[in-house]
Amino acid sequence: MSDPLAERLSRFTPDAAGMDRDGLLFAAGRASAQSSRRWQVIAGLLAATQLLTLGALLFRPATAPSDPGQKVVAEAPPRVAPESLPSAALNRELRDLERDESSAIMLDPIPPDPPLRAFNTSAELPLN
Amino acid sequence: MMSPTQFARLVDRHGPALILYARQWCSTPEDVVQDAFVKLVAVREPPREAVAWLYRVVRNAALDAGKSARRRQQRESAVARLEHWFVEPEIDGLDADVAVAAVQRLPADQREVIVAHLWGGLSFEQIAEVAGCSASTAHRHYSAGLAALRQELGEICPTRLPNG
Repeated sequence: MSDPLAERLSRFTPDAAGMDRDGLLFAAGRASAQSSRRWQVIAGLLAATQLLTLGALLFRPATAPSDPGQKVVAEAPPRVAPESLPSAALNRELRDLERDESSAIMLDPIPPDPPLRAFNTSAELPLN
Repeated sequence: MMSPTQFARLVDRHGPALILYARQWCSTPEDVVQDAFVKLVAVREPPREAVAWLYRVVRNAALDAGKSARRRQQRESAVARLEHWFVEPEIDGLDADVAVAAVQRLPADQREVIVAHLWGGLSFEQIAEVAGCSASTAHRHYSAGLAALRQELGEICPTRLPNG
């Protein structure tokens, strides 16, 4: 650059006051980050499965509706003869036992021994 | 892959000259230059000559922006804002506004080469690659433009515009 005019002109510094240097570096940093599409694919697949699940839930085949006017009749239990019940047998045994005891009382009405007592309250007690 | 430090150095070193380069064609050179730098880091394969690549991208974007701005100005009749090309108001008695006015009066092809070579530091080969011409043509434009400037500034070298 031997020309004196060119040398003088080149000493002017271009004005870059309007340039936001920090903003430019920030934007460049964002642009330089490689956008991975893997997480987008995974999120899309997850959303698709959710939609399929929701669709299957909403449009599943309907079951036959129950008739509200239909009466439910409970079946009666089968009739059983009273003699075959266990309680009837027990009652019969109890009755036989009572009959035996009453017959024993009638045979020997006086008890053989007086009933036992803890203390004898007769005159055998020493008096001070 | 360019490191953040290298990128910041590139911005500091060539950002202002790129803005001046884009200012020839559009009124929003800062946006054009910022977009070009962002494009540079976003490309998959970084260019061999990043500076020349930046000038080419800025040139195309500034030309497009200039066309859009001209269409918009026709509709809106926007008020042109005062543009400062240079930081220094004058150097060695040469007024910056006078120099800017003289450069703006140059034909577009000469002005482009003058700006890219004087303030951008591009070689004539690089300018030829950016502007899409041969290096000899770029050199011829430069010589013609400098002669025109010398005729307008070199002999008179005024410090103020005659009507300013």
